[in-house]
Amino acid sequence: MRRRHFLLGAGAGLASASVAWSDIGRDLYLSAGNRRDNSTWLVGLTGRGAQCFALALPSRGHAAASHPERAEAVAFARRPGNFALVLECGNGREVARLTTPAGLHFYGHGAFTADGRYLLTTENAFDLPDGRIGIWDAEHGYRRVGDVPSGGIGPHEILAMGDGGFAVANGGIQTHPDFQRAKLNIPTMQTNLSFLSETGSLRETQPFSGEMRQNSIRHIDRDAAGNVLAALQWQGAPTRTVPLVARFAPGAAPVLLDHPETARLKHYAGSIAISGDGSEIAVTGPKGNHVLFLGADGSPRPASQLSVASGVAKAEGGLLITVAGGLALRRDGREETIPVAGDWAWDNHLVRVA
Amino acid sequence: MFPRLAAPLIAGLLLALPASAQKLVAPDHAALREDSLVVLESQFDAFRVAASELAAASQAYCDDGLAQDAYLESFRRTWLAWAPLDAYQFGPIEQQGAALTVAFWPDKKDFVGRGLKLLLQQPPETLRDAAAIAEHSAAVQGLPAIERLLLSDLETCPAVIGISAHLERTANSLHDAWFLPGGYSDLVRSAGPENPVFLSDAEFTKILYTAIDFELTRISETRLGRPLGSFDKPRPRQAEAWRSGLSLDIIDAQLAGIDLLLNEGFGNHLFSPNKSWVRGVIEDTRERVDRMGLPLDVAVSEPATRVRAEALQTKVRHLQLQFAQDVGPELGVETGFSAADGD
Repeated sequence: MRRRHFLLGAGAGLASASVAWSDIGRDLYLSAGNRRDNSTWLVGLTGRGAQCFALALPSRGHAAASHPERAEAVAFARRPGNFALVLECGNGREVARLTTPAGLHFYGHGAFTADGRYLLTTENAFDLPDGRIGIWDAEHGYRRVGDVPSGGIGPHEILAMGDGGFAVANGGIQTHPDFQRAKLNIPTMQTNLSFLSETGSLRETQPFSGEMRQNSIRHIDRDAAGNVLAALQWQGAPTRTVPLVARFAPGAAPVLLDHPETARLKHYAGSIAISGDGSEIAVTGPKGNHVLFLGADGSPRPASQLSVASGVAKAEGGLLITVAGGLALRRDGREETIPVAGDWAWDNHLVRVA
Repeated sequence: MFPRLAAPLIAGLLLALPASAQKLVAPDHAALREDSLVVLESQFDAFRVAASELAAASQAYCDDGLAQDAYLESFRRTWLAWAPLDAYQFGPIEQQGAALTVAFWPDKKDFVGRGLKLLLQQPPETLRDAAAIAEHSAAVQGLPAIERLLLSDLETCPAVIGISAHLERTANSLHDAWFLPGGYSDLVRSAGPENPVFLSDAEFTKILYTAIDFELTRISETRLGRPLGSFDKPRPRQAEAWRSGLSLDIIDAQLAGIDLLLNEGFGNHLFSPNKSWVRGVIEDTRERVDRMGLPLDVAVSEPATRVRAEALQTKVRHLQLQFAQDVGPELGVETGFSAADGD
């Protein structure tokens, strides 16, 4: 199937006899996790820290994407990985294994179309270099349909928007697998947030201007009003302290949201999420062992010291954060620590199942 | 040097001791940092000196009849001075995008050749101008561009003057960004809660250890792996610097750089038999480079000599394992894994 036929079959019925998320439990979260022996896993957890499943991965994972209906999760390799595993979470069965075509690798994130028909993945065409969005047909064994431009270099997180379209955080940083994770274009990098239509065509690109072009837009979440909130990673002069949170909306100029404790993140905002009740934004800082909080309007709230706080996702009435030794549940301005058995070290992201 | 068998032997004896006696003391990361910065400063300085000499040699070659052999030797010295710096792709090299501007490679799309064709349309006075070169593609700003100009049909002069002058600027700028007051070396010296980047001294130790691991992967998987290709389809033209025949010299200079950092940077903070053991493996690896006897691009193409390149690749992977077993744990920086690695 060629790219222009993408979505032709949208709305086709879901495969019968598949297991739905509601069949295997509610209040479910996914995180890549690692054990002391360096083995790598995709872990399913309840919001109370109970482990529902742990499925082995061939190497270190990054983020996961959950199918909107079926109990299928896509576990992505950490960049510059070439694999993604589609796993049936009820029984651990591998539904499909995605491998990037030659000349491309995954960045570690993906998102499903609203109807669950297609999976979109952020990818690096590293010899060009160019940012691409890979399209995979979830109804036909996750066959690759093709790829479309991401709107910039280094597309990282992709997020399904409420209107059926997508937002893509183009971090702006050129990398090449021969250089592993080294950043190759810092002096000339240009980050942007791009909005794509439901068929993957570029609707709008919002670059940061001036020196903020080096403030890499990497991880994103959206609020109920359709704004995109972004966690940033500052790549400019390390002696400068700049805001690490931004808000975007289609057709409007981006707004940087400053916080008096920004310096605690050591220039690195990890994940971002909006609380279940919509009242608060959390921005994790695994390098600085702190989490910044902001009100829904962007006003700063006191940061919390949380060891290796990395993944964050909305929870019932609050936020759930992966920390050393387990989870932290944030409600009403306070965190409750929830230990998780198994001596896990969490990887970067926590994903709440739809 | 320490006899090869001694390290496992002593390790065996240690295993017989009670667990408490085996526990090694955590290294003094601040002292290790100071020792390592001395090594890095010598390496960045050597590149600065070589690049400055190359800039002068380019003028002498184009304007005053310097012999090509002498010019090629200056070019070679500069590339080999750069080679160990390839490991340090953080801080100033990353901030200035120097990994590509100095040594653009791999180049599957021939950005060097295409970029030079565009560049050579400029008038001679532009080609002599370092600032003008900086406005062009990274692929024409560094050593691979000079190599191509010297060893192909393209017009060598005066473009090598502008490119090498730009390279000299880059080399000076990297050195200064590291070692002038307020530079990156001061940033790593002031690790702590108020430091904008480093929470602790141990983080810099980890960066240096990771840099060695990075470079060994670059050697085995990229510098050797690319030209090796597969048995049926070797790819000799994917060897770095094959035109100038420097592919193996670059690898050797990188192994020498790793040895220097291990011995003089980490050396005082490691259990001596471990250090001697790993240094011995580096020496063995360099001997294998020496014994290749053919340029890398030639060696990979013939079954009879290809095995030597494969054996070298195996040896480099083995060396990497020795670092992971005998150096990383003792420095307290096992590659392991942490969400704070970031992405």
